[in-house]
Amino acid sequence: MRTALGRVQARAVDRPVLLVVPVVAFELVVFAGALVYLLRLSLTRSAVSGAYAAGTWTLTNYGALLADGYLQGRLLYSLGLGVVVTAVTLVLGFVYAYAAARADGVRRTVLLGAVLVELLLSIVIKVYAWVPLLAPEGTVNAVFVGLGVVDAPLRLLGSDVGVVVGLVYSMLPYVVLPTYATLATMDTTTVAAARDLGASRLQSVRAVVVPQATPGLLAGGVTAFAWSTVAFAAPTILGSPSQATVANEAARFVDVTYDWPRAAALSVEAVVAVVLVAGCAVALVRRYGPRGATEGLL
Amino acid sequence: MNRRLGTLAFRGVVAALLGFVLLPVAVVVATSLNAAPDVVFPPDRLSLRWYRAFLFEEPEWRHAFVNSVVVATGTAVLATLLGTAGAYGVRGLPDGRLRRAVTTVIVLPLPTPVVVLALALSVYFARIGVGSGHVAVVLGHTLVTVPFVYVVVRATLARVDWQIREAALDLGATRWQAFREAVAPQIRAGVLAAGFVAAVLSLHEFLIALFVAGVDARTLPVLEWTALRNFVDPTVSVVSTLLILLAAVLSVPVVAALGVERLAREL
Repeated sequence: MRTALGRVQARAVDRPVLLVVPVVAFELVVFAGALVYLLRLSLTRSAVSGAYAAGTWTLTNYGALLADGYLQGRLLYSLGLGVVVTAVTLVLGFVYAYAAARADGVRRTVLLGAVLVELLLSIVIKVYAWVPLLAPEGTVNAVFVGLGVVDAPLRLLGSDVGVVVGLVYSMLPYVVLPTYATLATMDTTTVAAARDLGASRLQSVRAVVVPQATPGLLAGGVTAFAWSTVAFAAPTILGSPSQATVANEAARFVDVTYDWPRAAALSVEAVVAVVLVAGCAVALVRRYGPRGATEGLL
Repeated sequence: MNRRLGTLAFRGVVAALLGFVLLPVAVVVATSLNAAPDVVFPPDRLSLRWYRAFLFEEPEWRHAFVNSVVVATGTAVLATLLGTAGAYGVRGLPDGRLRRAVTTVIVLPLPTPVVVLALALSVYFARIGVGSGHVAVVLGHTLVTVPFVYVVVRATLARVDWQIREAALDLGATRWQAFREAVAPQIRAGVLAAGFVAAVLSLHEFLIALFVAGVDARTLPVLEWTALRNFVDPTVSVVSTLLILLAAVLSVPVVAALGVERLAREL
């Protein structure tokens, strides 16, 4: 009576462990495969005809890359951009998540719902929506000039300011949500206890709430840093060529000069730099931060 | 007095942040209704002319819309199958360290910079013969959506009452019957929600689609990008608004199944 399908079903229910095989195989073939191929490509010679000379081994791409003052400058700019965006997003995201955790009922639903709605926008839309707001004749400048804050319209579009605003906006949900998740389970009586013992509002937040929120802030901060350092859409739409990140440069090698090995080498260098900086930050928090702060990470 | 002032200041800051989060959404919707061909906020006069133009005059956009729907559907199915099976199977692993290792492998694409992933996938797919059609985009989108499915389904499984399954087995049900009758009803809503999350994320994914998709498989965000590089056009606002609406409709069952609060905690 047991058909082949029945046997497969029974085995899947009996030994559910086998169910992890497809997804792990998928990750190995698609994810690991693609990244290993990228690494291999970065060690391949460029070719005049075609994108690369298959089967060759060389380190010249990395040598040329490290000697290229312009590209190393772009890498430093990208890392600086990532640091600034991460810092601003962490501060704003913490305030937002704390407000959501302290609020109740409708207020909490509105605050969380707004972030979820933002999560539904593509990065293109998120960035593009700031164009009419930041333009020289745009909404922000109209308000500033109207209120007399500034005499002449500020240059917001095509500058660092525009790119930072667009990136902070894009990254905010990725900081708010994990921070909220850690604060939602927070023991609020400890805050009340700190206030009873004479701590001011800011003191109690700093001494009691921030340590509890650290795992979420760290997870969100790492994501924000990893993504904004190699931002692609925001520098193109809200910036000018002097806001180009390593991602824009790598894409140029792929699309314009068809130099895949250089693009691969630049990508590898960018990932190594991001992992190094983020790793140092995580190590510092593990060493000096509250206990268990790095447990939520991989 | 000082305390009340502090509360007021805090509320003001939070209200400003809420405005910061919602203002761009308002801009996109408002500019799509602008009568003039330029993108200004707030618009002077309202009209539906750009919606008409999008629906009836632009075959390119319609084609991209179909591509987006095809890719989002494929991604939702594949990611839900892989992620749900993984989340179910990982509980059977005996060792906690092994379980963490599997989770790490599945979640690792998330912190990987998407641009690097997109570049790598585009050259890798070209090399191994996957090409640049719908299948390639679905594979790429599955990679970045499986972690979400996996996390949501694991959270759902953590709440399952396994004693009902034991009871079914004691009463003579086969293991498959016990799963179907006792476990499946408890996880159905969570799995469905995970699938919708995957579809919505795919619908809005931009970088992988941009680098991996050939001209025939271009999705809506890719075409928006191409349009934006030439000139700012209200059609982009129209498409964005329609995408937001589509995502909102797809989110209704998710929110109904999980509630805003739980969804926020589990994503």
